[in-house]
Amino acid sequence: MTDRADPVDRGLRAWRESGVPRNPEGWLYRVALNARRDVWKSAAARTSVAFDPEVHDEAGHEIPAEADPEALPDRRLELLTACAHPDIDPGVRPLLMLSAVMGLTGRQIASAMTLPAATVAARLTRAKKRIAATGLGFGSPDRLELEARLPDVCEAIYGAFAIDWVHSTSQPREGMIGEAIFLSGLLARLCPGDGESHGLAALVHLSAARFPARRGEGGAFVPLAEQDPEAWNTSLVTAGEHHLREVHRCGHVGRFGLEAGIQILHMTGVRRGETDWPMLLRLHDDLDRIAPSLGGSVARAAVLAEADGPAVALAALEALDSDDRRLTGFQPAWVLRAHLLTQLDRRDEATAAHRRALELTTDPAERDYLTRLPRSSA
Amino acid sequence: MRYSLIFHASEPGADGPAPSQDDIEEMMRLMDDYGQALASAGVFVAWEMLADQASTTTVTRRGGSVVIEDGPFAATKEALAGVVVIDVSDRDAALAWAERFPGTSYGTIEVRPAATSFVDGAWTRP
Repeated sequence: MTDRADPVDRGLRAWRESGVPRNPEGWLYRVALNARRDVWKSAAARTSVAFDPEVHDEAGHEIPAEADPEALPDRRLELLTACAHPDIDPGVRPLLMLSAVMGLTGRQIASAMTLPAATVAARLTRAKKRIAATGLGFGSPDRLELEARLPDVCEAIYGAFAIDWVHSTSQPREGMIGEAIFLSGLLARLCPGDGESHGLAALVHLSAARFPARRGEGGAFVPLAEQDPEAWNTSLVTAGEHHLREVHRCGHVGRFGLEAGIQILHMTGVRRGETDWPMLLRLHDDLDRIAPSLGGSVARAAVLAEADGPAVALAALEALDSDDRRLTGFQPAWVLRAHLLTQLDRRDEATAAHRRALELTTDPAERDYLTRLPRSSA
Repeated sequence: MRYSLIFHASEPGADGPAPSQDDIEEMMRLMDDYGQALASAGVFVAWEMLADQASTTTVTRRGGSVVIEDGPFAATKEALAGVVVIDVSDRDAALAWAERFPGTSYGTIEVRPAATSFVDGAWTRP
């Protein structure tokens, strides 16, 4: 390696030699800072930008050369925002957050996400190089700019949580759940006035609360309606409910707030043995309007079946079908279709839909569950 | 109908440091889970993970007489690393399985339908 190695290489080399920095956020911040400083000093920067004392002096004020990263209370928010920068691959953003904000090692991240450690290391290295090369929003503590990027931050935290591959033999991945709980709680604390940050925290806490109840004996799949509320984690439910109240206090309900609202209505329904389907349908309608998704539309059709009957739901599902070609390979849509056709006593079609759903099911526990489902023809 | 999930990846150690023993064991565990999932779904036909390119020998008679050479047909950075053959209803189902293949975190899966398969001593068309 030559002396001309770029700052991140120097940082990474130091990292490799001296182990994980005790203060990884400071480390990453400093790498980005050094990169910026080097760009300002470089011949390319000097010759390509006309020197403007106002602009450049201003920049100098914004990023004091000896800034102490820990002295700034919002450094972690800035760091989260930088990690969720659009120039970084969405799949890598959660990894970077865990590394930069929580100080997890590559190996810890790898085991939490069940990725090979070498893969995680390579992705982190690439992303950190990218940050070092461009700065990616480091050193611009403009609160408005940070807040404009909050949706990306929420998305990345949720992405870490929602990775859905479940081991066939071992337990579902629990590693990431703790991290997502921490990150979403942190974000809500850093942005107490942002409804969506609380919405995300509520969604993550409420989903995580039900995690122990999702698998029964021998790892068998247990759907929400059949879960034992006693097995839900009470303190996570309480935290989720707190964040939901905060969503209301903020007066802004976004995608995550709505999904959290849907969660709590379902959970209350299971607890009481009676679900408020019309209210659920309203939340689903709102969700469909602001953040339409294939999964969301199918879930809405499932709620519609409870609120207005299987025929209405099937019509909605079929309307979706003609809109979206992807639906032909979307397993949840076939599971719902089989269920609705069974309720409507259209047995042959139900059997065909059920077979199709099974063909598209790759998770063994879910496959077992679907195979054991009582059928009208049985 | 039969689909081949054709897996290409860098040779171990060719692209950065070679994976550690822990990494290899972790990936073997994931691959094992995947194999069990294929088997329990009843779609499994065959799965070969291949030794590295260096242990390849190529045989051809393209030029007239038999030529046997050490090494692959074309040495590439991303080498053919394995083939999983599954029997599923259609492309959507094949893609659902390909997405689950653990190796996609460090390589690429090519999903290709069989044109015809030699099964139980005879050619069968899908």
